[in-house]
Amino acid sequence: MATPEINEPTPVETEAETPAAPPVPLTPEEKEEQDEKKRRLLLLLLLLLLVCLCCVCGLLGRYLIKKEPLPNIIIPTQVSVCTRPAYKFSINNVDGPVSVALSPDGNRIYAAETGGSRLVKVFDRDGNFVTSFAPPGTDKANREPKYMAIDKQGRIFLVDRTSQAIDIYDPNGNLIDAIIGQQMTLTKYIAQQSGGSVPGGLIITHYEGINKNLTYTSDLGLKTIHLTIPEENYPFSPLGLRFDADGNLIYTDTTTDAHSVRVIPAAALEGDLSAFAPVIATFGSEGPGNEQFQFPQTVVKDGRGNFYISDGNNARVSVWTPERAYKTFFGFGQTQGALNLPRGMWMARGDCLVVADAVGSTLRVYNVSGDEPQFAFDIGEFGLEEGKFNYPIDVYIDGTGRLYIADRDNNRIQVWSY
Amino acid sequence: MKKLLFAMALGAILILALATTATADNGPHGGFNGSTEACASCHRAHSAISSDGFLLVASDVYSLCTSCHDGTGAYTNVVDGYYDTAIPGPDTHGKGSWAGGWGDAGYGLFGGGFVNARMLTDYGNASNEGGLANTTANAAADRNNSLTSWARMNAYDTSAASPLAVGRAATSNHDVSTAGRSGTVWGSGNINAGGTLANNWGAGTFTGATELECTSCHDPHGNAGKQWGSATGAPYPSYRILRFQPGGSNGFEVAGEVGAGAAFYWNTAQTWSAANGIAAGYVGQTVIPSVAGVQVPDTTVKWYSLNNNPALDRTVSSYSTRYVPAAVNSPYVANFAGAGDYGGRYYAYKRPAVTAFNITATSRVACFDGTTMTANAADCAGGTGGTAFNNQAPHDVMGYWCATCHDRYLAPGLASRSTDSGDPGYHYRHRAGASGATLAGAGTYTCVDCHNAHGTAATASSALASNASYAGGSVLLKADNRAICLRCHAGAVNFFNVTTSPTAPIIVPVAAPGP
Repeated sequence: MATPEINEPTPVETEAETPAAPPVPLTPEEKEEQDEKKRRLLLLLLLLLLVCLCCVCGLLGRYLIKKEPLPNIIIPTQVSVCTRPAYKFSINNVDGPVSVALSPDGNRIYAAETGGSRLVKVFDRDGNFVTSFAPPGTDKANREPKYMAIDKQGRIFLVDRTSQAIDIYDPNGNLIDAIIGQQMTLTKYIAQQSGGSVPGGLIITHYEGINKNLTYTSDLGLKTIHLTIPEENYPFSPLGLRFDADGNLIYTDTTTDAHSVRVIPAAALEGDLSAFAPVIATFGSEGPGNEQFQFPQTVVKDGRGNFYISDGNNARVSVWTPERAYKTFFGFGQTQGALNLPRGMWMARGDCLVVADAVGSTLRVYNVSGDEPQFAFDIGEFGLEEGKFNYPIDVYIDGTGRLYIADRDNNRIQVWSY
Repeated sequence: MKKLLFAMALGAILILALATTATADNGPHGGFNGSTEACASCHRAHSAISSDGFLLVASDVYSLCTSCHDGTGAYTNVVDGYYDTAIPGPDTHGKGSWAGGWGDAGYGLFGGGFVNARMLTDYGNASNEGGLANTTANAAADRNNSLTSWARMNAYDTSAASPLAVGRAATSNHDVSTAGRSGTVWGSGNINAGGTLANNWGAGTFTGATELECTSCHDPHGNAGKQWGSATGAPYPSYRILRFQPGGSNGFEVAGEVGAGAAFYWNTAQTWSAANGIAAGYVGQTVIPSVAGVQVPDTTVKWYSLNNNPALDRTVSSYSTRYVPAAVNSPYVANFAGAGDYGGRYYAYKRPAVTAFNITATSRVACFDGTTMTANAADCAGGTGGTAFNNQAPHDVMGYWCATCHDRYLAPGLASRSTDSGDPGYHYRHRAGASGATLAGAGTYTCVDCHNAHGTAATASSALASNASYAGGSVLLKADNRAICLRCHAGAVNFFNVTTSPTAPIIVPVAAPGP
């Protein structure tokens, strides 16, 4: 009978254990040095802990003394904003905000009101009120701010429907000019009235766009004029405003029966505008067709230069190529992500398009980085509570990943963050 | 998830299926057809926001309407009260030199605005706001050229010399905004059991379930170009989309469809049959077209008509908010079967009517039996049952229209102006509408000749109507203080010649003392 083969475990070679050498006793000096190191390390840790404790106590104390939003300590991020943001806080000292924009450094928040006194209110990054402004000499019944955009110099471009113009303010809220026609600005008009150049020391003291009356002071004294704008400046009925990455000003025009998108090249906007004579590129017409718009609102561009137009009354986003040829549209219909009344838009990093859907009371986010736009998710929903919307009409995203949303009928600017 | 998707798909199908066809009305308020998406612009079957039962995508009607009519999505900016249009061409005073006129860029809306209004309320004062000069020509034009000149009050003037009014804050408005839902209705309210008014002011209050809102007067689904005065021919698109009658008014759309298939309107009497989908008790009722309608000045003259058949109206109101099967062939039911243009009519009666206000079918009409005010329709002269509007010329339809809410306006006394109505609010009151032999005909005066429907920027140095709660006491008037009187009574000599004043010779007003 065969004896079963027994697989005996292969002996594992192990290092021969060598007996540990007996510890060398430390000299008193060495022992003291080692203890000293431990003490220093402990002291350092305690010090760090104390600093942290002080910071926490300081922030807590500040919050308890003045219950305002804590400063945002998020450093500039490269996180794609196709991720969901979280609600942070609201700026409540606004009346029916219709648009929102930020200064180039992100430290000034501008909110244009459509209710109350119809001012542009300025806040710091924490939401503290700084100042406000409006066209000089107007009352609230004769100004009607709508969309707003800020260029790299910090100049604020603001559409005023009452004036049918794009008012231009310096960062401090002083009206410095206005685009009042396709080829006309206030300073250009003044220059034409003053022998070809803008008089020195020009300050606009009164500008009623509704009846085209302008008063200004300069080295030549005080002067009041009535603007008679030549015919070649029409049509001109701006509504939406955005700057693209190259500094071109893209505005929507709602001239009756001629709704369109128009692009003013950046070069025409450099320096003062007394020689304003842009070659304006135009595309689209009015109607429900593919290449048409009905009350187009705002226009943004993706990383490849495609145009995205929130086509308000057609309830869709229209897409055009960099060459301004019609490409497609999306967001129309009944499916998830369908738009009700698209208004302000912003193209965030990673070509994520954020659309303020006013009557949908939400922000709809689409990933447009691929060949086909994809609905990603909604931000917020209808409600009066913190973090909910009631007619969100405009959105702005800064370089730190903060979203600023004009929550019109809740009378606040909401701040969200990634 | 599949269930959710299925529900969404079903909702979408329902939304599409419930649409009707129309081409008569403009913009998003008409042109519905069997594949429309337009319903979902305002309503959502599953994800609506409003709690008013209409499944709106906004929190309330005013918010929904002003989501476009605030200068961002419509040419009629009712918030600021002007035409937010821009016509290619040069612009002076906000008005194009090509023509100028009603509906042109920057001009005031006929109804004014709810927050601001663009009006030349300082009537006839050339030194203030560039108003009209006190000249014979202007006065004559303003008095006799009734339709066009009337526009001057709202800065519609077609004259190139007339300036554009600037905007001013509204001093009174019809409270349709979110904040203005509860209020009083001047000249409204029930009459108590004793036949007297509930209080000296008689202000009717809104019930908690009802509101005055944009849709009280306008039908967002269009009115199919409905207009009276056009006995033949196709109706015009009516951008105002006024209701045929406001909810609860004493009237009903005239019957007799003409031109089905392309456009329709009603101009002949029709006896309702069961096939019309009318409740059995009303079969056999005859709906008779009004002898005249209400003319509302506009770029294109439009007429809106009412008829007097409150019983039928109440019946129709019972269909409010109800979806009636398409197979029912009734003028207020969607009809998918034909290729006709039925836009608007399906929706024309969706709003609760009589019950919308705290007014019952018997108490809503104030009548005067010779001694006291009464709510008993049988006491009204010449009327029992549904013909309770007493002492009114049938064509004073705008009066009826407004009297939907201001119901005691219809107390007797109108024709003679010397009969005490017994109503503290309407003792002896100015005639309005086309009532009375001397004022019969089109283009004579109605409520909206003196009052703005939305809001006014006129001011009053004192309260114009005692106990009025309106800010500034301007009570929706189109001119400051009592200047509205100059609309007709331009010459002091004839001021009291009330019988003939509309055609009386004009005495040039005395110019105001200069500075």
